[in-house]
Amino acid sequence: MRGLMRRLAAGVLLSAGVAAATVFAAAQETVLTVGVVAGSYWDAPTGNCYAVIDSVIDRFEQAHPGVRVEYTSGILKRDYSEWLAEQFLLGTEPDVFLVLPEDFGMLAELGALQPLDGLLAVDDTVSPSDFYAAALQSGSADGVQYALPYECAPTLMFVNKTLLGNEGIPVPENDWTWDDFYAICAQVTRDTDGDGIIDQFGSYGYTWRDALAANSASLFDETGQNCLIAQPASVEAITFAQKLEQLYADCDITARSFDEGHVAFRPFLFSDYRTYQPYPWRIKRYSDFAWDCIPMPAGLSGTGRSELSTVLAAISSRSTQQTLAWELLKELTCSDITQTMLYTDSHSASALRHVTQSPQTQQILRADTPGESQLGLEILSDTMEQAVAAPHFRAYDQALLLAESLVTAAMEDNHNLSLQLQRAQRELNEYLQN
Amino acid sequence: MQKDENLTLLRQCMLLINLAVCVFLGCVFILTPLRAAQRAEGISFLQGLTGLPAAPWSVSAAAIGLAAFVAVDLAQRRGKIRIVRAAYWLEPLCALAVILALHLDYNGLLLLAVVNLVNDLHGRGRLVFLGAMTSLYLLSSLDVLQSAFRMVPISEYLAYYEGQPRQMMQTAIGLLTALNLILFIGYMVILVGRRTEENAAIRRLNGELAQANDKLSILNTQLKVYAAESERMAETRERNRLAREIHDTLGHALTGITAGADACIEMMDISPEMARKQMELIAKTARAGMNEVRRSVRALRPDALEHFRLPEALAQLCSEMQQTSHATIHLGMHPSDMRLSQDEEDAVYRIVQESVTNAIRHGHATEIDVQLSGENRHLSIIVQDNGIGCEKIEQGFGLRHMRERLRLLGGSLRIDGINGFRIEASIPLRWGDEI
Repeated sequence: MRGLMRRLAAGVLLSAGVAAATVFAAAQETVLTVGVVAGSYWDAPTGNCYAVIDSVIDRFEQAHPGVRVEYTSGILKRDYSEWLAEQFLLGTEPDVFLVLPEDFGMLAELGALQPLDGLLAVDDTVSPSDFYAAALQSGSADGVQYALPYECAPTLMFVNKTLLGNEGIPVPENDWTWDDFYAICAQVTRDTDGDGIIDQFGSYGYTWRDALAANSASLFDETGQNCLIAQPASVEAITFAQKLEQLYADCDITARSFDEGHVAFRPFLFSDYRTYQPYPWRIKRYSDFAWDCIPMPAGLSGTGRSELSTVLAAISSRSTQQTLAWELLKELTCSDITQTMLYTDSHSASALRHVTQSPQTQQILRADTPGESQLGLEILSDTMEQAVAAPHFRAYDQALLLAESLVTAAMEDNHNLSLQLQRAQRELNEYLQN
Repeated sequence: MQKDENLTLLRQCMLLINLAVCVFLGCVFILTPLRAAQRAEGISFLQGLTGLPAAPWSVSAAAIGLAAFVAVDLAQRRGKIRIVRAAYWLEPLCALAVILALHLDYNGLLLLAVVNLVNDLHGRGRLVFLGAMTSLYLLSSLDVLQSAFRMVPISEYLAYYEGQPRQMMQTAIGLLTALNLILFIGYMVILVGRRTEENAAIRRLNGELAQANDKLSILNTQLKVYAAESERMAETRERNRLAREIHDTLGHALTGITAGADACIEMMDISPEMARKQMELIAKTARAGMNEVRRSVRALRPDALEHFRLPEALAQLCSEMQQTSHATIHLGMHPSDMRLSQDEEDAVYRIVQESVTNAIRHGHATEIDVQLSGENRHLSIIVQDNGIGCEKIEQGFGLRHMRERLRLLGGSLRIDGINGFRIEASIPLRWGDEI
């Protein structure tokens, strides 16, 4: 009898405890954390760098009463990767966070990111086809979608219209090729003031990597196990880059040369374009000449693709609030309002096709752009459509550094480039496979 | 007992080593990420890992598991947990929790669980337990499992440190793990040794038991022989007793009838009336004798004693003898009422009957005095007649049987034939006899 009473009392106490805990938990509001970067990933100056995230949080909190979203402010781009890594080490990582392109490979491989394929398949409001392929591709590893694109910056070709005008050359068409590009560069590279020193140049900053993308070649395969630098398309691209480089063999071209209007072409990120095109930046930096953006020139076997730089957003695989986190991720990456805000409050492009192509976006772009600018809807959308995503395996950054030095050395060596590249490929393969 | 102390010492050493390894691993799992974070080396640390490192607080699961393990072990050792079969799995379960929380990097705790429990289990339960533990040990040793669970091995944590500290830590872990294994093997060797000794002792005892059994079976055979002997003796004794009964009953009746018939023959001419009376008495005696024989056959017990107690039976016997002979019989009893055991009563009755019969048949007595008296826990029976007596007493069947009966009761007999015939019998009284 006493045992029964004791058991009964224990049962009552236990259920009271559970009830109290439930009530307490219900009374507590759910807190969701987000990791965001202060400022632009592409170093484009912005006004209020938290405008977009703040509006996302406002809308999300309104739609989900009892849920509070928090973020740590003031983490600069250069500190963000380390900050995120530390949060993961301490087990205090945010539920939803932005993933910088260079961190994606490592985080995906570590299993830090929640796979989204299941959520994408179940959710009717989102479809992978809403995104530009390259942008979506940059958030997937080994066929698994780990992150969705938050904002992108395609590479465009910046054209000094004043310089071309002075030389009597029309601004190239959107479907121009390497031959056109090289011809113009060869034509404009000369000594204008007759002092014997070449002071006008065809291009600045067009590297062998731009040439690879333009020729539909790539440095590494998707798995990060093989280097493709000695493939025919790659050799073709590097030969072109070498040829272009030889135009300026003994010249000293700097960014300053471009800023002063002495360079005809320069590859440029969309974010820079957005930053410097509107008033007052336009006046401040490039006051002496008129300029515009066109797509990159197409290679011999390519179609003028460029690499797309994409900042992603992902859910932590250890988040306890997977459903809410998914809703928040959608609000960040799939909401028309958020993505349209990228064009007004950030200097990046949206990876959502229908947002980038919408009349509203077109209007925003046009409003900021002086009348003569060519950059319209189709250039941006086409560039995004054709862009390729850079591989993002874990050792990518290190391998890229090694490739830079090997390829540069091969290009500087005047003997058989193809053979040199074979050697570089072998060396890189060894590095990748160990 | 010495061995038991050794085993306990080994077990305690193992417990200490396991605690040390677990605490050390826990510290590495907690402090390494903290250190990397503090030095802003998060990325370079993460770069070296194959999976996401568990949050530092997850090590608390290992601490709880370890505490539970020690608590369960203590409770079991002090007998606070009732030994039910299910209770044996508590310790391995705790060990498993610790192993999982420590990224499957250290499974020596399973060895400790085996050491703690193997002695208490027997038979099939032990086989199942050892089988399960072996499988668990092998499973938890698999690196494949570690990567399947996306657990980061300790080696990757240690890779974060520079040369010398890393080497020292690796050496410490390796040493402790090896020591744990060695202690485990030592424990098992001692345990098996002790078991073997126990088995040898049991075999020795079994041998001794078999020898004892052999001796016992010889004794048993002897006992059987003795029992057969004893049965034969009992048979002989019974045959003698039957002969005695026949003599006592039939002999007595026939003596009475013969004496009565002799008297009849003499009286026939003098007084036919008296002779007729005498004849009736003879008939009565003959009938009584017949009854006596019947009863003897049935129960081998004096008929008079069947129906009466000893004093009445004796009185009836005397009065009947007096009527069938010329003798006058005086019966005296002190005290007048006595109760004896059945065999004693039988003996007393037969002795009196035999003595009186002898006095009439052989002594031709006319006066017979029968005295029974009990004093000093002895019953004495004295029968004195005034017959011819005899100088040299011949041991007849009757006397011999009288002696035999008395001997069975532990009594004695004295006879004297000089002045008439006198029989003195003495029987020691038993507990419960009333006189």
